[in-house]
Amino acid sequence: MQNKFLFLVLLITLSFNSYSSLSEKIEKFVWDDLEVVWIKDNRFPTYSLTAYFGDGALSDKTELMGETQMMFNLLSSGTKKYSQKQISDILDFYGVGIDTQVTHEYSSMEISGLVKDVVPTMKMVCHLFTSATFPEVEIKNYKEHALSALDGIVSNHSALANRIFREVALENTPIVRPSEGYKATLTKIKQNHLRQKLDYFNKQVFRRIYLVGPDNLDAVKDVLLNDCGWRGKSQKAMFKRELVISKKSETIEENTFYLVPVPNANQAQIRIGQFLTKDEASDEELMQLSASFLGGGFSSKLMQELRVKRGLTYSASAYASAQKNYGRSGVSTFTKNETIKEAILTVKQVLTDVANGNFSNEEFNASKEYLAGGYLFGFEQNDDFIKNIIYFDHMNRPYDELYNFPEAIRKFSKDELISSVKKIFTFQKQKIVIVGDAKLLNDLKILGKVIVLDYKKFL
Amino acid sequence: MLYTILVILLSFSIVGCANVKSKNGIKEEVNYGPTPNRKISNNLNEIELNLSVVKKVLPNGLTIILAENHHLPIFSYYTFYKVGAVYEEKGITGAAHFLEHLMFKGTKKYPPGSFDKIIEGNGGHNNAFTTLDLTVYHEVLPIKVMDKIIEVEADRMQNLLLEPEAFEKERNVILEERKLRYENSAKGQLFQKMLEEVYVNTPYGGSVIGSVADLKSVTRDQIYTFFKDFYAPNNAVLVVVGDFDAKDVLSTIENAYGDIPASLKIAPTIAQRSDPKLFKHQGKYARDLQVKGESPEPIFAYAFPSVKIGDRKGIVLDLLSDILAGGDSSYLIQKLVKSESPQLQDIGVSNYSLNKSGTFFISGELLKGKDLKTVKNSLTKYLKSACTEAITEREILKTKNKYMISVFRKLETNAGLASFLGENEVNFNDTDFYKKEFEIIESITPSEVATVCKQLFNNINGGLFVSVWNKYAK
Repeated sequence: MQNKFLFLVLLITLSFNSYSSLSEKIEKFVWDDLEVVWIKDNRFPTYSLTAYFGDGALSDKTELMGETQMMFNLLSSGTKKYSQKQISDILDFYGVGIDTQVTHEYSSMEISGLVKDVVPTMKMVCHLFTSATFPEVEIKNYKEHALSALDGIVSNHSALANRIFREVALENTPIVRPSEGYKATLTKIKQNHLRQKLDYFNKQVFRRIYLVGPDNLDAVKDVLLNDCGWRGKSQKAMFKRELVISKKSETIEENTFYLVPVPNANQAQIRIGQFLTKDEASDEELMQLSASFLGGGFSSKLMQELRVKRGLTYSASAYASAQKNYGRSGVSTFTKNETIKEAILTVKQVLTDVANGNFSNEEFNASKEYLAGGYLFGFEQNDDFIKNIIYFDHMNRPYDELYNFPEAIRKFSKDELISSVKKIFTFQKQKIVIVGDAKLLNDLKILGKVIVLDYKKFL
Repeated sequence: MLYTILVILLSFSIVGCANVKSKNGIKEEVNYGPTPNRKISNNLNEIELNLSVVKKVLPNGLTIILAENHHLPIFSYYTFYKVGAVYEEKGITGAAHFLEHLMFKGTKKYPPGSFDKIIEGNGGHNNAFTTLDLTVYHEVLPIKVMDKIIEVEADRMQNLLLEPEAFEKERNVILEERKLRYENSAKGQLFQKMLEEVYVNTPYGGSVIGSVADLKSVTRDQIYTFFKDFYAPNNAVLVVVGDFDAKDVLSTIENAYGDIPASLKIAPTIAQRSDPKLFKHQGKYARDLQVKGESPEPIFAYAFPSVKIGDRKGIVLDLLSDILAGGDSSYLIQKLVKSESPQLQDIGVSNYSLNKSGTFFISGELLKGKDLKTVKNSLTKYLKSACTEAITEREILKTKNKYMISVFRKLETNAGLASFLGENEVNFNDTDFYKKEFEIIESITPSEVATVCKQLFNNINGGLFVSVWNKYAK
């Protein structure tokens, strides 16, 4: 290992001529049955390696929710050979960053650092996958931190609103429980659960490798095959989680407001949204346009009405996202206690106006261009680029859809936007969560049925 | 500061191919195609950088910095105004930040809403931020709208409308932002209180967001005066990075900005506010301050006086901060977060350098049920022992490796490079200042870090310990 402070002179070697030059940056390999997708980039002496796994938190038993996330987070907590302190010292010395993500359907671990250190780094990472022991003392430490963080969430009203809204909106679906688990489930997870979970991921779950970096990153091949033993089909690790939700468990015809009282709140956090079935979430580009038109950027309808025209809030946004066979949509904002009614009614008015086509061609075309013109920025940083590729692979969507995104957006008509907003943003179909002062109950009662929730039940 | 230094080794306009090979244990670069002049080395201070930067100062004082990058047909446009909360008088705290909001409210030529429509209607993104020293506006856009952006940015530098109705709406927005960032954020309260106490009786003593009373009472005319006093070409640095020909863009910028008059007030105001005596630390240390706030467990900041940006000692303190709490293996994280009996949810150490002064502080959040007094005693003990136990050659190398990666990550974007060039220019009047910092970094030894560490923590009780907790009395 070169332990000098080494700086390398770099060149920008790539120029952008067409969308095809983006696709040419992506190369696919099969290394002894291990699928590899590589964005070649010789500009920097750095790399990122993402291991994608075809299962996630849905593999956790109800009473052990949070197990998969805990397993990934504690991978570096000790082996028979190395302690947590030794492992972190080695990885920190190489300047390695490790970022794990556990969704309900899949998981990923991104390892990044300097190419000159990729072999010793990945040897250590492979050692963790093959030999992690999950020492009891580290599990205890992890739980203490996780439980304390959940108790502390009450001081972050925005985070609390996101957590509770998610659960309210996804009620009666298989994905209602958060992948990070609850205090009660985390407490029950034991060392043997984590070992079994790692064994499951090592032996049964499908994996694919995503690389970003220069040509000499191929030095990592032998390490992945021999040290990690990631040989795809030869190890029969082929399981991919697939969840299809084609029907809703309930039909909402009139809004219910869920009020979550928290102490000393002088602002109310507002979350409005719903769960989407496979059919409702089937056209992702159109969903993105709908969300962007409503709440993407400063010139969006919600920002203009809530902030610019009325001064009710600092920020307002909308989103619509799709998984393979379902999706979610929503609006997020906040306002002072005194203007909670005005803010909610303004959101309602915006959603209704757009669903009724009360907007100009100029606004519509500007919104399309905001998405279509801005899509290039998703390729400026390789991290963003590879995340898009991983998502498209997970969704089984061809990369062409990624490259042709601007054309797809520009083709949408006003009627298509209206139809989409009606389908996913009709106000009366939304679930509404308010986190704020208990006194807001009086204002909310005027707007509709109110259910008061205790935030502690969501921790 | 260390993490704002970028090691930029790019020649953006070159189309060629570069490989890195190892020869006799020393890495060298082999190039095919046209290459810039450069020298390869393992040592930072021996590297000859090749930054393709065009810099020009117009007769009206506007500093222009351009760098080409033909990776994608996009560009990043940064305008640095050398004015922040440090220039606010009593009664108008928050004015710099208020004005930042109002800069998006239109001019006679481009009425309210036009600016965002031009940016977002072309696929761009824009934002701005205000600090104690600076106000910075930045945009990223497809290259096709470069000329239009130059025009609207030059226009709003001189022709801001500040319509009364928009002004009042924005006052409400800022009051909501203040609640979000400070009144309802325990961490916001903590850092605001710490900075107020550390910089008491200095021009840094006010907060960027401003007091509620001032935000409610400040008038449109006061903000307009602030705008006229400080928003002028001789107080601005313009940095543009992207897929363009620098010669052409320079000409367009000169045409758009060249006739904007310089402000005559800026030089005397800056001279008056730059006397180092004004910034001498007057904060009372060696004491504990308790603030009631909505944190279910105590959070704290332990502050010590530091130095202004660019000082050698400041760079040493940057290294020390990383050794203490940069990564899971760092000294304080192992002692207080990852130990068998952890006391803290998390801990961080920062050397916060400003133009005229600085603060070194340790901040953390207690785990549920832990006692603040016990934690402070443990922290005090470990800060002392760190100076003799934690600072090794390996730890210094570890810090530099992590720094190098963060540098390369930042260099991937036009915005990252524009930010780097602007910071060097604004802070040091020199886009090449980073070379001096490289020399300093390379020359720092473990013994120097240990010496600075001991100076800082020798009288450990000399720190200002601020904590926020919902159990405190109001």
